[in-house]
Amino acid sequence: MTWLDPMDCPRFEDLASEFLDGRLDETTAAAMRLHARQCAACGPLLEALHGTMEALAALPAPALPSGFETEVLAHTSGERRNAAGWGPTLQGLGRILWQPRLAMGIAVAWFGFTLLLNVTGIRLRRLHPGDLAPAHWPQIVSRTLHRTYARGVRFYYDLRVVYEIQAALHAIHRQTQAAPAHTPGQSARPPYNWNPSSRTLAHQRHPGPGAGLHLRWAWMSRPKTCSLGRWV
Amino acid sequence: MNAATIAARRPLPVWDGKAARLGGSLATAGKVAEKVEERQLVQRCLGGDARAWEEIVRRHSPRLYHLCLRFTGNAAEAEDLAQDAMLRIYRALASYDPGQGALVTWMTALTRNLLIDHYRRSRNQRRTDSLDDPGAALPIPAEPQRRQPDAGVWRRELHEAVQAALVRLSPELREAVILRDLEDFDYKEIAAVLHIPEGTVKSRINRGRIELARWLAPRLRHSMGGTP
Repeated sequence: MTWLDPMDCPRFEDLASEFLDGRLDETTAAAMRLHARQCAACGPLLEALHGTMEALAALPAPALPSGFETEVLAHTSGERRNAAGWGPTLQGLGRILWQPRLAMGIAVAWFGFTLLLNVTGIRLRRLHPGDLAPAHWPQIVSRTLHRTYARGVRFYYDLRVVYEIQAALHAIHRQTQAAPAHTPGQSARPPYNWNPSSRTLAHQRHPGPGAGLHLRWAWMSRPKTCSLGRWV
Repeated sequence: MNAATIAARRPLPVWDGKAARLGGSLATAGKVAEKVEERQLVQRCLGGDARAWEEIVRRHSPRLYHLCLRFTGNAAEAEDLAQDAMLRIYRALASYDPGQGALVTWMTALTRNLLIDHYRRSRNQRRTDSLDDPGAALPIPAEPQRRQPDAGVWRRELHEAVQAALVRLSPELREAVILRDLEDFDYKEIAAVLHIPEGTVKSRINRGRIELARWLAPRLRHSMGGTP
C-alpha cells in the first residue's frame, strides 16, 4: 500500500467478489482497479475470479427429466390438504414408524424386556408391589436361578431314563430276533459280538434280568420329581 | 511479466454486475410484478385451484432441479430431491407468508434445507467411498495434455471440471456460490434463504469463488488462450 495505491492485498482479496458484482462505491472500485494493475498477485487473482464466474455462468441449464412434472402432479393431485391440520403430521409420524430399523429396535427391546422378566421371575399378571422393591431383587433372582437349575436337573434325569429304557428294549428286541436261528445241533453262541472285556452295554451282555435290573436302577436313581410320563 | 503488461494485454472488466444481471430498473419492476402475480397464484392454489398449482410446478420445477443438480452433482439424486422438495412445498404452501419474502425465496429455502439434510445423511457414505477409492477425494478432472480438436468436447470437459469443483466445495460455500452465480440471487435474498447475516453471505461467496478459481486456474488459463 502506497500513497498512490491505497489498497492492500488482504483487503483487495476480501472485496474482490463485491467488486466483480458491482457492489462497491466508485472510490473503492477505482482503488481496486488501480491495485489490480500494480500488484503482481492481485491482478491474476481478479482475472481468475472473473474467469470462474464466467465458467459458472456458462454452465448449461439442464433439461428437466421426462415425466418429472407429471410425477409431482400425480403425487399432489386431489383435494388440497390443510398444512396446519394433523394429516401431514400423522403421515410423517407413520413414515417414521414404518421404517424397518425402528421395528427391529422395538422387537429387540421387547425381547430384552421379556428376558429380563423371565430371569427376575416377575409375572406381570401377578405383579406385587414387593416385586418392585430393589431389596427383593436378589432373592427373586436367586429363587429363579434355583428353579431353573432344578428344572435342568430333572430334564437330564428324565432323558437318561428314557435312553436306558430304549437301550434295554433294543437289546431285548435283538435277542428275540436272534433266538429262532438256533438249531439243536449247533453250539450255543450269543447273537452278537461277544466281548467279555467290554464294559459297555452291560445290560446287552446280560439281556433279560440284567436289563430289568439296570432299568430298575435308573428308575430308582431318578429325582423324586421326575415326570417320566412326558417323555415316554 | 509484470502486472502492467497483464493489464495492458487483457483490460480488466469494469463490472456493473447488478445492471448486467437484472437489466437495471426494468428488471426490478419486472420482479415486483412477478411477486404480485405469484402471490395471486398462491392464493388461487390455496383456494383449491389445481391449475394454479400446475402453473407453480411448471414455473419453478426446472429451477429447483437445477439447484439440486448443481449441489449434488448427481442427476438421479437431484431428481429425487427436487420431487421431494416440490411435495414439501405443496404440503407447506399454506404456511407461506408473502410478507416475509418472495415465493421463489421461500421455495429455495425449503429446497436448501432438504439438500443440507441429504448432505448430512450421505456424509458417512461419502467418507466410506473416499476411503475405498482415494481418487474420489480429488474429483476435478485433470487438465488435458493437448487441445481437443472439437470445441464442443472441450466445453463439455470444462463444464465437468466446474461441476466437480463445485461439489468439492464445502456445503456452506457451495450453496452461497450456487445461489449467487447460478440462480442470480442478490446478497439480501441469499441471506434470507440461508438465514445468515449479509456480511457472512459476502464472505462465503468470496471464499467460495476464490477456492473455485484456485482449483480451476489451469483450465481457465487454457480457456483464456482461446478456444479452437
